[in-house]
Amino acid sequence: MATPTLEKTTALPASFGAEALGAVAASDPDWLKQLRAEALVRAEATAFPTLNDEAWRRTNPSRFRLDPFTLPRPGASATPQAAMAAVAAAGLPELREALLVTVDGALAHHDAQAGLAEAGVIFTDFATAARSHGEALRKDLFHGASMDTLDRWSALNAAFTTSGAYIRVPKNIVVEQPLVVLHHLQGTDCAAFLHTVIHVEAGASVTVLEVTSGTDQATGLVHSAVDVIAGAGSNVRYLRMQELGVKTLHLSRERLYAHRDSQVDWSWGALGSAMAKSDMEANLLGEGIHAMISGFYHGEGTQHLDHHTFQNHEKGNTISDLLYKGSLTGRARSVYMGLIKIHKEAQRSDAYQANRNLLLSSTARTDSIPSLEIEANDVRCTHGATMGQIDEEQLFYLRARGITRAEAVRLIVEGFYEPVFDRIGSETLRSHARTRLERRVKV
Amino acid sequence: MSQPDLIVKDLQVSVDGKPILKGLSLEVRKGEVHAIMGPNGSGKSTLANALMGHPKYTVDSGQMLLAGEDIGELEADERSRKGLFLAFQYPTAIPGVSVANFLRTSLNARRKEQGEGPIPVKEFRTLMRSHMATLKMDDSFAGRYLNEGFSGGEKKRAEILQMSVLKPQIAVLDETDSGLDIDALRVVSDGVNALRGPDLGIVLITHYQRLLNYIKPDFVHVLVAGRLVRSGGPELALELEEKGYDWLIEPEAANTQA
Ligand SMILES: Nc1ncnc2c1ncn2[C@@H]1O[C@H](COP(=O)(O)OP(=O)(O)OP(=O)(O)O)[C@@H](O)[C@H]1O
Ligand SMILES: [Mg+2]
Repeated sequence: MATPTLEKTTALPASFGAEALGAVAASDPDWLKQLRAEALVRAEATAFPTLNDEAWRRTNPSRFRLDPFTLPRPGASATPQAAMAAVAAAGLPELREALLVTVDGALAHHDAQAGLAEAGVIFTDFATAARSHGEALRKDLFHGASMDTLDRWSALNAAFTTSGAYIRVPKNIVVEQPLVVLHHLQGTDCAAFLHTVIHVEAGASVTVLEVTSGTDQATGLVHSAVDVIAGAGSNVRYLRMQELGVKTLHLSRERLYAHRDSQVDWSWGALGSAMAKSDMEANLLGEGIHAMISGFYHGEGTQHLDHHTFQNHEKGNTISDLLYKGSLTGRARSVYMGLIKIHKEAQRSDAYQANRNLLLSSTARTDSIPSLEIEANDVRCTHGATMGQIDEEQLFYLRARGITRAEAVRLIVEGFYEPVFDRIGSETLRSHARTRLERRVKV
Repeated sequence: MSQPDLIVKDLQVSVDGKPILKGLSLEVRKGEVHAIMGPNGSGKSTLANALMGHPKYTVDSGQMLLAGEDIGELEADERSRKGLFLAFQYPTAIPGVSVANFLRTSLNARRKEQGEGPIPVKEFRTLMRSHMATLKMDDSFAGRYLNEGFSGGEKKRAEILQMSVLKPQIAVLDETDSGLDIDALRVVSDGVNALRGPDLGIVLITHYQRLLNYIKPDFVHVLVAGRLVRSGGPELALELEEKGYDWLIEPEAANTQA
């Protein structure tokens, strides 16, 4: 038989069939049961990606297999103690005003000040949202996309969503305290499907920190789907951190749907997992949108971090400004593929895209492929990719001031990331991002 | 008289296999200011970099002793922590690293060496601000990224700021006056003079007598083609100002330059 990765496989392992679906959906409302069933049909009708797919040429899709895994059996591990341990490990103890924690796919902790509910803000886990806010959630899931438009992994997520979060901020409501969501994985051989939906209505404002973490003992695969809907004139500050354990695989599908005049400050930190592939789309659907998209990642050992971004300008007078920076040591590898698309009617749009990599070892590797697709003529676009090593003159300068080599390298690496952190508008999110990265980068 | 605090003995240094310093000797005691003057390319910065331990500068023979200890095999950071300081002719920019963060890190490296804990944040801020005030630097400077986008004058001030905070035993100032306007020259010189005293020996590399009006040297040395060809008192600088270097260039050196 030829390499299996080159063949389209459609069969799903038995543990991801109708029976498993029935168990996951047991306490769901009917609409969700039905949606899951449609999604499973879609998943069965589509194939896993192969090395022949452009987006998967540098990240072997056969590493992401379902057959070794089963859906998590939620409940047993989702204790308050486990939740608090996860909160501490993720560096969140200071951010507990509005905090939702799931452990192995089950709700383990939920803290929210009364003020939030009084203002009509929904801040809850996926299962509760499906029961209590079904109508709203249903419309927001995948921004209302029909199941038969989803790719295989997204359809699997829709079918088997184990847990997630639903945040909805009503019109013109300004939420001051950051809303924090933590998904923690500590089980073995689980495939968890998480779905987070954030809908910020017109003129509303919110800061959200979402962390997907796991222990280094945890094994399995996590698939995250994220839909962020930024209503007209809304203000959204969102930081997503991936801090999974070293044996966990991670796939994610992040979508931003920005509407007219919204301001979105989106940042993404990828620090964990054995192998991760993120597929992020920023859809600029109305005029006057300003989207800042910032990414930072650090890989060590044999970590493999793959990022795909798509800045999709459908309307004019829009700005998208993307900067992804990463450092790699050991035999770690990163892949970045970015596409800017400016539609014909999106005149007077600005789109920027930059990917910068710092290689800290001779065996680390990085590939960066930026591309443009521009149909309008009155636009400003730049894109670029760089990779480099620690500058010897910088190193000498710092050492000439008594700083040891290791410390000097650390300073230079932190300085390398600083322009990314500088862009994060929320002080809380910025300092969290910086602290987590600095903790991770040990050179 | 006490033993010199910096001894350079018959130092020969090459860069990329090309000999630059061809046997240079120098002795500096704390409390003294030695000016080194010489034409472009004569090896002044090479001396400074070799003293500091820049990996590109190969010491082929000779010795460098700091407080009696041979520092030839030490890394740059060890030399620094032992009290050697170099104010660079061309300071390197370190993007993303603020002046304050960098200064605190280097001060703490020195304190650690002396068995002290890190300086408390407040104490550090006060210390840094007072030195910045002496050098007429705005407070906002502390938050800027080190040497990034600094004007020539700002870079030189930042070097002296570092020297003030780190309190070295021996400081080599490589053309700290270049790129400074008259006011800045006075401020920077005042900064250096404030540090001058029995605990600090200074090697002042310059092209201009002007600086020596502000920082009065005890000795003046002339470096030509990798050798100190003449040493004297402050009057030697005045003589150089008047006559240039030609009269000091040895015949064979003059020939190879022609
Ligand atoms: N890092 C280096 N790489 C290559 N050549 C160098 C390097 N440093 C010094 N040199 C060479 O060594 C010689 C002496 O240079 P050096 O910088 O020491 O001169 P200098 O006396 O400081 O001159 P200036 O007055 O212009 O600063 C020059 O020919 C220079 O090109
Ligand atoms: Mg020089």
